[in-house]
Amino acid sequence: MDTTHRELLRANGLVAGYGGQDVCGPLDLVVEPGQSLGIVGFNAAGKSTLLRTLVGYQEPVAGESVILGSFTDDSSFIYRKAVSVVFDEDAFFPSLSVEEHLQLIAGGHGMSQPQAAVEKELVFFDLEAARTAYPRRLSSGQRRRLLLAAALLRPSNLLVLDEPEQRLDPVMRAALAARLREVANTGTALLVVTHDPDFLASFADSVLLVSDGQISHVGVGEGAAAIARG
Amino acid sequence: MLAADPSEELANVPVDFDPWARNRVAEKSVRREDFWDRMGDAYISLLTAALVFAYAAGLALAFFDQMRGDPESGVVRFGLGVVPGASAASALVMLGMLGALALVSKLGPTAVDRAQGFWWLGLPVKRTGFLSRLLRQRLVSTFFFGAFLWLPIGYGSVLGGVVEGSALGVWLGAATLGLLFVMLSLLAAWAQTREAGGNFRAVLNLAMLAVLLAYLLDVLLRSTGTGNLAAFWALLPATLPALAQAGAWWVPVVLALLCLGGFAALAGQLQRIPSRELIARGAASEHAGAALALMDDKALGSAYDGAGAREGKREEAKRERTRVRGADSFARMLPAHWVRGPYTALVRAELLVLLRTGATWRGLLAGWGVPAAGVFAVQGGHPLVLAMLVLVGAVLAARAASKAAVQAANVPSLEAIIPLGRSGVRQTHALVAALLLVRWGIGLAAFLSWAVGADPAGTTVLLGLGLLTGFGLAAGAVRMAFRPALDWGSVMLMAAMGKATGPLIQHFTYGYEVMVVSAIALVAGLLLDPVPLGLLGLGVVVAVIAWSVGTSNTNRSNAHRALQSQRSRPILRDGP
Repeated sequence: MDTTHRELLRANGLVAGYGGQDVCGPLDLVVEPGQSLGIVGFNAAGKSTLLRTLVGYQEPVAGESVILGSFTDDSSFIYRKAVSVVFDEDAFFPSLSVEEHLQLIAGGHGMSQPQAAVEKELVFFDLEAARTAYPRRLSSGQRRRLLLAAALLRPSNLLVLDEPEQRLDPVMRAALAARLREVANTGTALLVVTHDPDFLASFADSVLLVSDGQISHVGVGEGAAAIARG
Repeated sequence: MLAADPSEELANVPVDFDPWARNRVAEKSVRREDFWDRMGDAYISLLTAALVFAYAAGLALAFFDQMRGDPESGVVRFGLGVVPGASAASALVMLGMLGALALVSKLGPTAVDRAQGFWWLGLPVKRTGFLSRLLRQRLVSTFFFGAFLWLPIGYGSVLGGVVEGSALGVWLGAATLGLLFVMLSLLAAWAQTREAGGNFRAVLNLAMLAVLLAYLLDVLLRSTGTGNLAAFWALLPATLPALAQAGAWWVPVVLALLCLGGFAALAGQLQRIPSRELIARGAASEHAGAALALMDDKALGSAYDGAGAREGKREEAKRERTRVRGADSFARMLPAHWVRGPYTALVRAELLVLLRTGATWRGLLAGWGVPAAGVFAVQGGHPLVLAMLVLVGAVLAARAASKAAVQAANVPSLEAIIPLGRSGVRQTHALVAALLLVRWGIGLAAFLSWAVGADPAGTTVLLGLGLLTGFGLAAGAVRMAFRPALDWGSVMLMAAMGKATGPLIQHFTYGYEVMVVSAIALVAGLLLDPVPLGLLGLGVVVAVIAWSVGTSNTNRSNAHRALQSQRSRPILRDGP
């Protein structure tokens, strides 16, 4: 595999769907390092389906999706090293504390200074006071922040988030949007599904609008307006 | 974050890290606190296993004791029972093993729970270590489960004098069945590594169909005197436990070696199983595990039905977005313009649910198939066997017809949005189930009338009893669907005082007792010659009582009950 080329993700005529039935597409797309791509659309338009197909969690109905030249197989080590994904999960080990969950991610990615990275995310996501708490003691918003902390803690080339703003208060939403912008500036590409126009405008530099089975490339302003129209 | 050029960071994969070991270290302090809880759990598990074994072995012994004697002294026509008991048992065990394999395949055997799916599978580490540990745990559990299944059968058959054998032989048989289950699990795990779980389950379905067809062919060959499939049945692996029990000690030894070799060969390939497969099987396992822990057979059935089709159902749901709804043949059979009010709306909706559910059809067919298969076995005409098979068939059919009522019980809003009283809704649930079960009952009665050689008058009575049985079964199905939730706090308190068995049995037989009682008149009609006309009167009385009991259930749906249990203090009320 050639890991030096600039394309992190390429979609060629990609059609997302289930069991041979189209949901949306076709899509031609190239995502390069540092690019921030928002995905917007109405409920049931197929945004999450598209996202899952783009990152290889789901077979495309037609076309192909290529990550880092060839790897869309999540059983490959390099894929797991390079791609950080958070879908709408809410899964934790009941006997591991907040801090231990993050230590697991830092250790599993072989980070050179794992505890420092953990401390940074605990501070950023305002989880310091809850660092020794078990998941059952956390509020819904705190659990969401823990998942996001895990995604941002680890190194990655491509960060994929499905509606990360959900269950976050406005202050944390704004902080997360700024953080995503900062992450993109370091060279990590972003693929983010969102329903929040302000959030979208804060981090994205281009938008995919999914509507009536069609996917179109639009500007950030038009994407935000599409969300606002509902 | 990584550098824009990923080559440098990506060079350090896989990372040398063991998430399993990491979790164990982190969880150590928590685990130490739970030591005595774990000992208590182990004690309760052992006690439960011993009690179940004692009951099962007693029943098996009584059954085998009854079966001794003239095999031709049955109630079915002379010459119908042609398949020898050994062949029929081989077919039955083979079907059971294939069914177990389908279950294992739906629940894994290689699987991760939701937390492991998110926190472990995303790590760039070798998965072989923790996946092989997870698989090994399941294989050990599977072995004990299989071995435990054989023990009552083995002891019952030896002590009942049906087969020659010793206590050691019974344990060899148990080990053999346990090892067979392990081999089946390894086969299912191998299919996972090839991403062929769906195809594997399709092959299993075909294999089960093949066994049924082979049985049918054996019946035809033997009935016409043109041959038999005795050699085929003898070659099936289902005969191995009996072979080991008879003293062939090498059978479990060979199987154990095969299992060890299979596991060693498979462990290195576990890395190939995609995350989505591991997560999907884990979700199904968690669902089934929760149902088992709560001893909720309805939820267990849902876990089994939904597990294999989890991905398929999501795909189906997505496809539905682009499909014109109500355009299938069942919707055309029951057009919307027939609806004239809330009752007909509910009947139409529930009938559509039942007719579109594959498990309904499979259950009704199994309800016919079980007694029919027994009739053609040498000892199937034994009054005890025939009665048992008819009752098993009745319960299978009633469970199949209860699917809509079970869904209504699980989703309170379904009842809340229809402007009908609770009693009216229960009656409607039962009516819908009866529309299917009456047909099932008449069909079974017609076949069995022919099988027992009833005269025209007797046949008429039996057909009437089949119809009445359908109504009773429908009421039992609704009663089972709206079974009150078990108050575990109360049960534990009673267990400490030594009287928990009664409420527990009452809970788990809720609804089934009505099903069994409803089929009693039909069973009696099959065993009596000539069939007394008075049985129809008995059947009417039983059906009316069953309908009344089954549909007067005032228990509310699960969500309402959960709310009520939070507000009340049943432990104090039910305590000594």
